[in-house]
Amino acid sequence: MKVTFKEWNAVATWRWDMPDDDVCGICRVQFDGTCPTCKFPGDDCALLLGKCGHSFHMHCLMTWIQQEASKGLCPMCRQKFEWKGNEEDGNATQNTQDITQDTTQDIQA
Amino acid sequence: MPPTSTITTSRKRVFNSVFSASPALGPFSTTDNPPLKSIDPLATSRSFDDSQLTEPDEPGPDQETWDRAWDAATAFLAVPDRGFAALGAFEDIDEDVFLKRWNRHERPSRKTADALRVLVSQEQRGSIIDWYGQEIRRHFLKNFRDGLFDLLCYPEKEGLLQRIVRCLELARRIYFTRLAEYILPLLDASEKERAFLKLHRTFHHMVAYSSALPWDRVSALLNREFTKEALTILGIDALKEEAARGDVSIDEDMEVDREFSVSYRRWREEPSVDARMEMMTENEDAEVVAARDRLLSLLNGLQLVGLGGDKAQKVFAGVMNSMMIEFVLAAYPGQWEGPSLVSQHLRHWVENVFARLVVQVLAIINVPESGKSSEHLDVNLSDVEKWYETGFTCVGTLRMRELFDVMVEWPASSGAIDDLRRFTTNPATRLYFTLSFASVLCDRLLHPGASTVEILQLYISIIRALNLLDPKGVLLDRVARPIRRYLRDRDDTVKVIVGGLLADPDAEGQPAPSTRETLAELSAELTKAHQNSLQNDGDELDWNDMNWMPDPVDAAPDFRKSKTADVIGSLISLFESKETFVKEMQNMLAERLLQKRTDYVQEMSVLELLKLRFGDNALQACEVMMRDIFDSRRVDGVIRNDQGLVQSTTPDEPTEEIPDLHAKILSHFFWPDIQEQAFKVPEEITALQQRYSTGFESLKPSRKLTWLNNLGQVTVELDLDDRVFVDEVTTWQAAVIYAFQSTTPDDKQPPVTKTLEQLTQELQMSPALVRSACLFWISKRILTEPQRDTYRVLETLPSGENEPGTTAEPNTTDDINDDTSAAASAAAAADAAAAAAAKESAEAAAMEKMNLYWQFIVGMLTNQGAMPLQQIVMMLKMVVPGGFPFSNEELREFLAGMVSKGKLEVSGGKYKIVP
Repeated sequence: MKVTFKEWNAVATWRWDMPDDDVCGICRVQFDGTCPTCKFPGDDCALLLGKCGHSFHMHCLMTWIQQEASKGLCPMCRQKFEWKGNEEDGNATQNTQDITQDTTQDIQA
Repeated sequence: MPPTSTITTSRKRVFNSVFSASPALGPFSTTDNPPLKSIDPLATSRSFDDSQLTEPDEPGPDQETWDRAWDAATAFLAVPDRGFAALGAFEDIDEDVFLKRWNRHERPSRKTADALRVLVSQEQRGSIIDWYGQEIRRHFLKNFRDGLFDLLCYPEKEGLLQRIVRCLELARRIYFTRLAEYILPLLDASEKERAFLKLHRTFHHMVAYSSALPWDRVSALLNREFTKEALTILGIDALKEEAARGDVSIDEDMEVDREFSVSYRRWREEPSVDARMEMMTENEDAEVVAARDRLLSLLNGLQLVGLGGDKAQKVFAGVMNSMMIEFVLAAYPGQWEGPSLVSQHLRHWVENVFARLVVQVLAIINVPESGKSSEHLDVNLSDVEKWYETGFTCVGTLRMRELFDVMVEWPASSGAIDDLRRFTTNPATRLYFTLSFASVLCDRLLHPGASTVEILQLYISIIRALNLLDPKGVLLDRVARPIRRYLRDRDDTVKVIVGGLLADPDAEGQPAPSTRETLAELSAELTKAHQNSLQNDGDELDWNDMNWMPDPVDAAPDFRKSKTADVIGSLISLFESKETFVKEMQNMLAERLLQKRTDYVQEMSVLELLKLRFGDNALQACEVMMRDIFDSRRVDGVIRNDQGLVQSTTPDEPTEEIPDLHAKILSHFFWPDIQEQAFKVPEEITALQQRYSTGFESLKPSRKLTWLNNLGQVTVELDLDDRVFVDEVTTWQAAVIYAFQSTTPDDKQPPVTKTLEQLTQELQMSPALVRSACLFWISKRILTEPQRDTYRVLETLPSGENEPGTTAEPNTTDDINDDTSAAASAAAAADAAAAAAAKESAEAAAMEKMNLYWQFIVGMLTNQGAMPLQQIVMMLKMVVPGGFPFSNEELREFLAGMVSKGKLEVSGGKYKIVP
């Protein structure tokens, strides 16, 4: 017998490439959820990854940064908040790719 | 003065004539007067008193002549004592002989005639008539009283009343013949009238008040007779017959049988008003006419002998009252078609049949003693109106009793609601309505035997019906409370409601849109309700509403007409919080969205409509879910393009065929927890998934995909030796069948055989799931199970079931249909196995959750020492955020598992951590 798959309709979930149970330091909502002002997660409510290692919903952080009192510091560690810009983009994708490979290998094992 | 003096003197004369020592007295005077005296002491004593009180007797014109005349006349008039037996024998002998027996036949001799003339012509002529009255009384009491009394002792005898009436008529005749023939002609007109009435009254009083005919018995008899005839005359017995005969043969039978009918149904079916009119008024059939004649002649007799009058009227009124109820009960049960014509029909009947009988009867028994005034009407219009009201109240009561069934039949029974609307017009009937209906509901609906769908179905009917009945919603509010309370306690209420909302509305073409499983009409209702709400956006605080009415008095204190009083609103507001509802909505939506379909129009519209009710925020998750599905479609296209997953459209290019991999990418945070049953998907697919993931990650930076391999659909094509099988199956079924693929394309190779264990190992799938998949394939006749838990590919169908010529058939489902029974049972087995697998995975998921609590338990037992189960549960319930969702039993099972793993030990009912 030969088995051919004509069509495979799969289902997948997406996650931000972050540790599982991490929540936004500002709104305390999981990254996979939305910030309080947004309705739809993902593209509409992106994350900002800080160089200091802290990440937030973009909208949450923007609200904070725009305040005088913030002085442009990370609300968690009080370092200057700089997000991982485009120059590291390729690197980041590389990392995520590695991780995906790992997970698929896990599944196969 | 003169009249009293004549009376007293005449009394004295009577007294004297009776008690004088005159030897010429009749044979009866001396013997029979003592009993009379004792029976009627008042009369006698009065005459004594009178004689003593009045002045001495003024001498008559000729005392001698008078006395002689008196003797002759009394002898002539006296009635012989023949006893009751002689009266009772009237049936056997003819009238003349009968009268002869009673000494009523012979003409008076000259002497007697003269004597009568003398007595009557005298000034004191009243005396002879008085005497005759007493004679009648005496005779009646002596002869007839006991006989009549005895007759009444057998009240169940047929025609007893008629017999009694006949006896009394004869008695009356006996008493009155001579009076009418010989005395009355001697008097002038007014005297005649007076004398006759006097004796007449004497006779009536005797009949009525002597203990011969105790009224309670007579009234029972009357009641029976009236009822019997009235049933026929009013057409009630015909109605009952009709009902008893059953519905089928009515029409044909009735046409021939009886022209006259008060049947509501036939009345209804009659199209023209005139014909309806005629139906009750014309063409009375012989039976009715006969009954009417019988009744009227009986009444005539009764009236004549003094059993009519007020008392008979009372009995008659009682009978007619019960007739009204009988009629309503016979005519209207189950006649629920709308629009209801019951009120017209009833009015018609009351006016033409009921009132007619009443008029006829009252004309006989309602004769005032002092002549009949011609312009006095026995029945006037307000009476008829009152009867109609009474009748309609009966209809209301009947409908109340039927209400539950009316609700069950709902859209077809709107007529009954019309009737009830006329009935529930005052607080008393409304209270009766709510109380009785609520108790019926408790008895018949709100019990474990009724499925939630049935209850909801009926609740919907009730909502619709009562909204018609009482637009203010007060009745509904009261009736619905117990239902709502009960529904809240049912676990699957939400599920049914949500399922109904999401059900496909295109089921309308089918005969029963709402099956036992789903309430499909809810989805239709949702759309409809929305349109309605657009039309009348009525607000309670609309100050310009000139038609505003206060709530009825029976409204509950906390009653307020909510804007969501329609069906959907009522169902949704069943639950205190929207959360339960939304959560169920999410689950249901998830299930439907993950199906393979081209559009989700129904889901979209339901979601939009629900958003109007719940507000956007409550349904955010559902919206995200919808959007995920639409986004994935777009993203899917982009990724497949990027990664070169799209099949080349040029057919002649002999590239290696790769499966079309499509994916739905979900925002897991907004989807309900999806149970994962991990297993290894075929290599080919894994590779594709990997490429797909890469594509996704390049499209959406810093995000990654997790594949949920147990969800989704696969179209497989199985190339067997003798056939090709194409079908859409689940991913795990596909994975299992993939494992049976031949390693080499060599035809000589024996069919692939694998055991359950091998498959479990190979696919890393739970045995239950493997088994379920295998059973599925067996039902499709791809696999066989030669031994238990061993499966082999059925490369060629066994001969005899499939001709070799048809092997090239691309789809063998037709073959499978040939012996559907085997396939059906196999499919059933597959379904059962799938259910078992699902259950197992659910249990596994529950255990998984339980593992979270394990940390709590370990901590607790470490810190506080050994604990009994009860205490552990209590602590968990207090400590665990969000509550502890498991029952004692489940926890006990879990702990038992831990005990067997050696992590816990039990001593004396207490669990302890193994050190």
